[in-house]
Amino acid sequence: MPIQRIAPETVARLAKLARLGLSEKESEKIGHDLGTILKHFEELKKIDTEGITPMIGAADAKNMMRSDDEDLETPEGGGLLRERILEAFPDRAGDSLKVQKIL
Amino acid sequence: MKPCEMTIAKFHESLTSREFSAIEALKETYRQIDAKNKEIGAYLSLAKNGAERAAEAVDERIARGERVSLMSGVPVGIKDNLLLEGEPCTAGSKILEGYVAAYDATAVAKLKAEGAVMVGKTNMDEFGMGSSTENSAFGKTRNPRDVSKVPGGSSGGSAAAVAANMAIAALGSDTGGSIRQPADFCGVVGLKPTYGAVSRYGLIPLASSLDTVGIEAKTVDDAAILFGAISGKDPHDATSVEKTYGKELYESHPERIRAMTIGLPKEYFGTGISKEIGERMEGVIAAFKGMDIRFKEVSLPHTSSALSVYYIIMPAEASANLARFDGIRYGKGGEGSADIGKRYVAARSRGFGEEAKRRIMLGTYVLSSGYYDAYYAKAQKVRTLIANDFKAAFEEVDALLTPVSPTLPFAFGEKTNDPLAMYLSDIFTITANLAGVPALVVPPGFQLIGKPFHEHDLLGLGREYERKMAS
Repeated sequence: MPIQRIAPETVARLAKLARLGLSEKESEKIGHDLGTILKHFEELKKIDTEGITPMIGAADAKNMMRSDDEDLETPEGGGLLRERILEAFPDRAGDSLKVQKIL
Repeated sequence: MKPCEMTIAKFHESLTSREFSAIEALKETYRQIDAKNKEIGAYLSLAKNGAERAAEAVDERIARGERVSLMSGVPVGIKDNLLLEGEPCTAGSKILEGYVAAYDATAVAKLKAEGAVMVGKTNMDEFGMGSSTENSAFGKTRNPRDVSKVPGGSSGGSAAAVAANMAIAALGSDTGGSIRQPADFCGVVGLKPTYGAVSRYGLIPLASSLDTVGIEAKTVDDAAILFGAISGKDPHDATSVEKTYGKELYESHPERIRAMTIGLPKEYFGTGISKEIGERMEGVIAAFKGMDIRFKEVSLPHTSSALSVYYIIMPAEASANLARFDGIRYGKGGEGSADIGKRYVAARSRGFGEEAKRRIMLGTYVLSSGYYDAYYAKAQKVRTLIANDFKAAFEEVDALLTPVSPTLPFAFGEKTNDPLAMYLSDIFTITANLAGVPALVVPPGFQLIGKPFHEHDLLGLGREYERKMAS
């Protein structure tokens, strides 16, 4: 089978979009793997999907509304749970996430 | 008989007749883990403090003469992508190294409410991406039945823990076969519920429209007990469904089971399966026929497209879900970067493994401008056709019988350099996730696929099969 690979500049563009820094070796391997996998997807072109509704989920999605109450049992709530979630941040200042200046 | 070699019913009987206490059962479980985990690698971390407190609470209730529920004191393993409060949760990824769960996943909380004891967190392919558990950032899990072979994946640690008597049962997750294929490889029962039957709250998401929380267990009865405990509508998961299961899960009427018709989808019995699996399936069919169950050949004509559809939809959703691991809310390693953009890249490049990067890149590709319609939108339409195939088949039959994996368990390293070959090992399991229907794997390794919210049909068939084999 001829080697199918996607172009290095495409790999670079995707990596930028996905916020991934790839080594040259990683880029080459991913370019090759994606090429092979995308080639496999070509078979879908043969299937007639004219007029078919796309399936976006496996359950009948219904919008759910919650009452506007304080709920300490959820991550949105306060108390101990809130503090535990804050503790899990890699870097914090008080109750805020600490990040580099963006302006 | 050691506590972890027992079924839940037997454990309960022994516990309540005071043959052992919950704390003694737990200590024996940890002795088993100490003796075996170095070789098997089923557990990534142990939750000893919480487990001891839970076991002591059960013993106190028994000492007071209170009635305790069936799952009380039962040692359970939890896949490391389900949150267990106060314990590490890595999803098999370096990017979550050091992360401690702030709350319990709903399935975990429900098991705790039944008195079950959470022993520890089990190994898995990173974020559930794999079919051998070789993609874990934290080491190998070996198949207890043959340590030179992989346990399957991604719930390889959960299946291995149950198979090696390091737990009575375990929770896993299944996005494309991640409960069922390891159950097949390790020789245990695996249940992937209907999409929406069990809350996904507290499950670290891989592909949200495909992910389900389910069970690895020793017997069909045990799987039914855990499923009864964890299923139900959850206000924290908008896709969980208002459906209450009753006693039909735990007891099946042999006459009703024997009146069922099982469909054999012809697309699952072609040239793609190995000789050993073909022979195994013949034996299983003969056993069911011996129970007077009727068979009918059916067709799921879009089966051959399922792999492509799955490997478009799953990475697309995964690339979006994994965007949250940005080094700011989760994932160390980016601190001290010159700007925030570099921080994202530093944390993600260091934290994600090869397969996670490959799927993020693939998902980004199929969602990117100019390719969306050709890949993602097309795949969603073909997904409808695949789901319609199942609907049509279930007009004719009550359940489908298929192989689980096309081959016997493979060796370490055999498929790690060829992603497509690894992906092909999911070929018979991904369709149930695409269609959202339930599926059950029973030793020696066959799959029953059922109508939505008809887990009881599958459990009933599996139970009759177990009884027939035991007689």
